[in-house]
Amino acid sequence: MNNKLETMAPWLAYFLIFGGMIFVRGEHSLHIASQIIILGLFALSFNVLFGTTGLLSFGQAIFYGLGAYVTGMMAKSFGGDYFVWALLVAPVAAIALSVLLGALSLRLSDVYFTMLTLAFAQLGWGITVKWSSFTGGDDGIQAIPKPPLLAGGLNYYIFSFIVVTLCIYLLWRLDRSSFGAVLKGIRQNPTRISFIGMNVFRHKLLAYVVSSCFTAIAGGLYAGIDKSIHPDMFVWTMSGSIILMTILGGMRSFFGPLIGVAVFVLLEDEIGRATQYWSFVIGAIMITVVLLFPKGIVGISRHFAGLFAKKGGQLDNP
Amino acid sequence: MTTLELRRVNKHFGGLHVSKNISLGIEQGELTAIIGPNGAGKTTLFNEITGYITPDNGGIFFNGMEITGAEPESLVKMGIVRAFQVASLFYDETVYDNLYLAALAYHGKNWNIFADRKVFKDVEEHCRFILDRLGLSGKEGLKAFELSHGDQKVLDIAIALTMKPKLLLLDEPTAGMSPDERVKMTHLIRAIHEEFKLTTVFVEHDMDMVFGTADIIRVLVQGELIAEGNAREIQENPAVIEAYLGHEVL
Amino acid sequence: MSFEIFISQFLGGLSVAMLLFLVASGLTLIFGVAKVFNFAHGSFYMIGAYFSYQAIALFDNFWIGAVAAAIGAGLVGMLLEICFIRRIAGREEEGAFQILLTYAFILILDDAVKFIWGPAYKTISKPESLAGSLNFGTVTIPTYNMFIIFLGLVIVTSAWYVLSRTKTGKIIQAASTDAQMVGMLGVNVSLVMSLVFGVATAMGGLAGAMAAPLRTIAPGTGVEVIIDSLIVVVIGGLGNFWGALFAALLIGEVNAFGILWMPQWASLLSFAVMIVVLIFKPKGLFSREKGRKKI
Repeated sequence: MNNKLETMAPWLAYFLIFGGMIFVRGEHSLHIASQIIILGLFALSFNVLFGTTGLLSFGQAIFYGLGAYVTGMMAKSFGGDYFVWALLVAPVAAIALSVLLGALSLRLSDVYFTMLTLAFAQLGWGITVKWSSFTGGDDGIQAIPKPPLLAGGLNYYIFSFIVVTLCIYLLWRLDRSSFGAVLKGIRQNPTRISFIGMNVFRHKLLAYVVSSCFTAIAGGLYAGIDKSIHPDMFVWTMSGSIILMTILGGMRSFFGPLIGVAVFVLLEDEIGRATQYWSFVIGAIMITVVLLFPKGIVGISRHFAGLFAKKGGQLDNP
Repeated sequence: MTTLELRRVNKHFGGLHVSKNISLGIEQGELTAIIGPNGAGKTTLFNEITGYITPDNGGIFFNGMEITGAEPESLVKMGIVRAFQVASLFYDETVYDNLYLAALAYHGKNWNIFADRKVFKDVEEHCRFILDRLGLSGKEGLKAFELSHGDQKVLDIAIALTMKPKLLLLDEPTAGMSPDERVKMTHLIRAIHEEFKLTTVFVEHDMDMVFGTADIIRVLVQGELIAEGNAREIQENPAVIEAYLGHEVL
Repeated sequence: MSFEIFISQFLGGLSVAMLLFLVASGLTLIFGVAKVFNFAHGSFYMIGAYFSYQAIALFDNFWIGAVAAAIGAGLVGMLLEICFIRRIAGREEEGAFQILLTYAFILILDDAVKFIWGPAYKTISKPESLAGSLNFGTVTIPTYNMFIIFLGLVIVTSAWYVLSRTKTGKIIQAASTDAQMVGMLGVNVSLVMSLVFGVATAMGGLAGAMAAPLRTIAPGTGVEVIIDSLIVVVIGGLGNFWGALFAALLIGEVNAFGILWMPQWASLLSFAVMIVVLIFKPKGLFSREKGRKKI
């Protein structure tokens, strides 16, 4: 297959589907589409850590919540005209926090790293809930003002689409950059990375900071969808769902997590409304994916594409 | 000039004394072999020199500068590079990409976050040169896990050479190889030693290779350096005959 | 602080610590022996509490409830180990997949109890024989709390005995260091792993039953417990049985006294303790590793 076409095809599909949504009228579909691109940005940022570098963080929700709260609280106190400025402060706050948390947690290996990130996120959640005079506590923040230009559902979707596309483009560049190559090397053989003269910890830290920064932008955008935010954005099931969506779509492919998010959000829209046992369904999907399809939807389709092409599997991993 | 010097280096693992007061000096351009029975502490010695572990006491000096306890990555930048007993590769990447990562590190291009990786011409030329020199050109598109065992060891050394070492440490370069591959590897080591005027230290069990290749041989037994000298001196050394050659029939 | 308050807070902290240790020691045991990080360990505490509730509803006896909790949670634990966890052993990035698999168990078990027993919380009362309180001079301590401390000591001692003084304990320890070699010697290693999983989850279930009269039984309680246990095992060092005991005592007491000092923020103090420990000892208080890890 033409190599150039192969790289551009996912982008083409992305613009057709999510750009096309601009011409689809209907509050509900736009709402779903906004959720997909915003959570998609979250999942793609998360995958810089997980699929690329091999770091399972169970606490990326802390940066999602941080982004949402920074944006929401600033817009609330300074007025709607400052919404976009607030959205720019969110990633800066995330960079500051991620340098601190990353320096503490990235020195630890595997399971310790995972658990420490989880603990940090729960701590963030605890502070948000308890410090109610500042954060609104359990109730969160409602009626977050936005500038008039971004008020309508369609306008806000277009705005989100532009921001998300820009961010995804940067993440895509990162994936194909020399830094991205080093991160993949760290996943496969960190010892060798040190023995060719590169500092594993510092590369991991930068990956963590970049991932957290884009996650905070996603969180900030979320604050504008329903104009309300709540402490649940910090909670560990948020991180857990993002992990699930990422493997569901395929963690070894750049656009895999976005596909996972789309499938998940659409399923939630259909099944989540019909049952109060949505968590059960998520758990069942997760077990199925982990046991039977660890390479996700992208892995499965590549496998079948490989069968048809009579070349055998073309999977990323042997 | 002495490239690498160890002064009274000691290391314990629990109750085991794995490096016993080791002192040695390796001259620039020397091709030296370290031999010794299994468990003699050869890999531990490599780990101490390359910064993977820190000795309990004693000093390690590189070109006169103390490097005891330094991090592997800073030692690599100074020119101390190693290859591994079990080839340490990026197994899911192609041969080319394995070298690419090393060349990237050598040229300091590893921090470019958003620039496409293909733009670095110096890195690409560097990789090509190493590929050609080590005879891996035809295999550059294969993934590392697809290579034969011998080629994986060659790639491991190729990664080390990409770092343009001043001191190259090879941990059992012919381990697990067929006789054919051993001969090729022996030639390769001698050739790169001569071509790059490289100070080379290798650990080896294959005595034909050791006595046929090394300028100087050092014998390590139970963590202790019991002899050093050229092939004839070692073969005639009574301590070596007693402690080593007596057990392991050549 | 008066002496009376000090003693009563101390003993209160001790009983919390013992419950915490029952869960955390199971978590650390599974990790130490089977190299599995059981994220769902708190959920076994939760289903233990529900099993005990159900048994008490049927037989009106607290002790039958406790036994049902331990056996029930242990059986569910073994079942999940055999059906799922074992299947991903040896896979690339096994650690991450284990965490995700056991995370899925949390979601499923939470909804399962909601489905069976309804979303409303349940309570059970203390057994009558332990319902009163003991007086030590001016200090009054609920008998039930003293019982939990006693029970904790009994379990610590018997776990120590089994692990270090019996043949079974030696097989478990050997299997944790070199499963393949132990398998060669004719020991059924996967059976040993399942049993360890069963015993550890049974301890979690028992803790749930014992804690139930002091707290409430509700879907999602496992989450709080797992976070606390996580903190305990991380402070003590993953896989370190005695480290877990020390850390449980530390966290129990920090919470007991923290609540006097800063009531609103007491629940976040454990996090602070863990973060401080990890900064200085990245692998827990009792790791042998000095200083930072290379690479």
